Amino acid sequence: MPYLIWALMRDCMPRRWWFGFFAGLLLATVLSFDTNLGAHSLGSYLAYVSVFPLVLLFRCGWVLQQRTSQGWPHQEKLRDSRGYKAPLVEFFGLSTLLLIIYVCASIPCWWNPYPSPPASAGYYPVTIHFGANDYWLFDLHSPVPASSTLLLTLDWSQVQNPEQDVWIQDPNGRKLQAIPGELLRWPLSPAEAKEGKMALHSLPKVGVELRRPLTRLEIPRPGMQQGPHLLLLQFLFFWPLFAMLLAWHRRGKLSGTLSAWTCFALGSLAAMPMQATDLDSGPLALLARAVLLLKLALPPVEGLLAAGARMERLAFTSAATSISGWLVLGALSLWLACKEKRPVQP
Amino acid sequence: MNPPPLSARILATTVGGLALAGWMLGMTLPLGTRPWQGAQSWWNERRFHQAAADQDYPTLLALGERDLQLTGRGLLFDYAIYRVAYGASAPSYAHLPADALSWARLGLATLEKHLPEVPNPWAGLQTQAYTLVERVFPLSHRQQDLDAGLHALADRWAGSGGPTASSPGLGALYRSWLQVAPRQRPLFLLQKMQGPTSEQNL
Repeated sequence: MPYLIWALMRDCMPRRWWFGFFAGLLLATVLSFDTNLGAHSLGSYLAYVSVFPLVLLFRCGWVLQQRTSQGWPHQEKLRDSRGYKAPLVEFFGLSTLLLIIYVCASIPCWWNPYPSPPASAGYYPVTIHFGANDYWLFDLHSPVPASSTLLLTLDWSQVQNPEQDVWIQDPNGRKLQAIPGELLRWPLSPAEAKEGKMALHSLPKVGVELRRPLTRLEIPRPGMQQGPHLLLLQFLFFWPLFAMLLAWHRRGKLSGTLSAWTCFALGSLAAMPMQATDLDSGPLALLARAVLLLKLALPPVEGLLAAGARMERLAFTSAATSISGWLVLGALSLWLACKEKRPVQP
Repeated sequence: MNPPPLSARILATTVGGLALAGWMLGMTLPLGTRPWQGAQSWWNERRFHQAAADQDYPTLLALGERDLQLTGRGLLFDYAIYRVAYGASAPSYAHLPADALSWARLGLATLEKHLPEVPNPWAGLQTQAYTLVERVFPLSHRQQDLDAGLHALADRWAGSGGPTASSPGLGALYRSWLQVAPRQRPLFLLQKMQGPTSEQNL
């Protein structure tokens, strides 16, 4: 079995590909962390790293297709009539390659010749669906990290006596004092962050107005020390995709390349941030509804693939139950890939 | 290997078709889009610096907008607005008054278009206020330009300059402004913009 795993790893990542991988990793590090040349952002690095498992996915699909055309399935039947040895070998080989990729990708987070990006935060507009004077209903569009803060700019120009104490309160009684000329920083409670919706009102009602275009959600950007954690989450996103690839190929009997494209499509849907959309009627709305239905059938794991310039919005938003569900889906796929028992043909 | 069963083919086609439809409807992004956007923003930034050095203002604005769309960070956008609206209309550039006014209005129109989505609108308010009061109003002599500029400044003070450039001095100015009678408030704002305690000194 170790020889078969080694052979698959060599097929999927030939020796000269490793040079390409390390060169790509070096380029990603320079383009992301160099103070003059790069974007100076961890999100950028995570985005570049996510290319490697995608390349591996398609390469693996191609290797499986080549092996099929070379008659490997027939040899497998002769080698193991129970039929689970070959898929397990493929899965372990691919998992090892994926693990090596992510361990190597973590190195620049631990040892980086460039200065770490300074602590910063991302700011996102907030929709205020309904707002009478002194009462506001905020829609954050999706679940946000629990460390987020809502920034409110209040206009006091219509208040008769700006020196009186004014409080901003939520329906649960949590309140903060509002001071003229200061940005009100409202830290989100875990429930508000998870739900992505919240309501606030001012107490007493003195005519304080919220400057709606200036309302922002502040989300701290993860620092370099959280890089390995985010890479581990990215690993957990891609890992089940490889099991799904094997299931499509072995159980569904699709060609390797087509299986890889199907997994790519599934991964794209799983990585789609869920947003409330206002759907009208018509054929396009029906199509959009079907896309949403398929998305809802998958566990909400978009937080695992937090990468790019807006990664702080998604980072660490996937619940443990969703991650477990995604991994179970992978395990189920692996079981499906192993399930078929093929008797030896005389 | 036997040909794939019909059910597997139908399922794979459905998944692929829905993912493609989601992409065409703008609901999904294919995996690999973010690294591509990262590379695009990197190249965009190189072109932005070149456009700034060349004083190519339309390109500067377009690239600033593009960066805002790609990264959502808005640093290049804020700088582009500042260079075009406030910088290019400065008397030191010796543009014809109509040209200076045109640059200022172009920058302000772009800012207004994107103000609800920029990450740091308080920086935009500062540019808007000073451009309207110091550049546009002396050329256009329209009262609404002056009022809009002063209104933007009051909004900026109300948020003490925003989270990244927060200053207690701005909050104190806002509280002093609230103490002034409503009819005297525009004059107070004008005095503070031009006086020794102007915002640049805080």
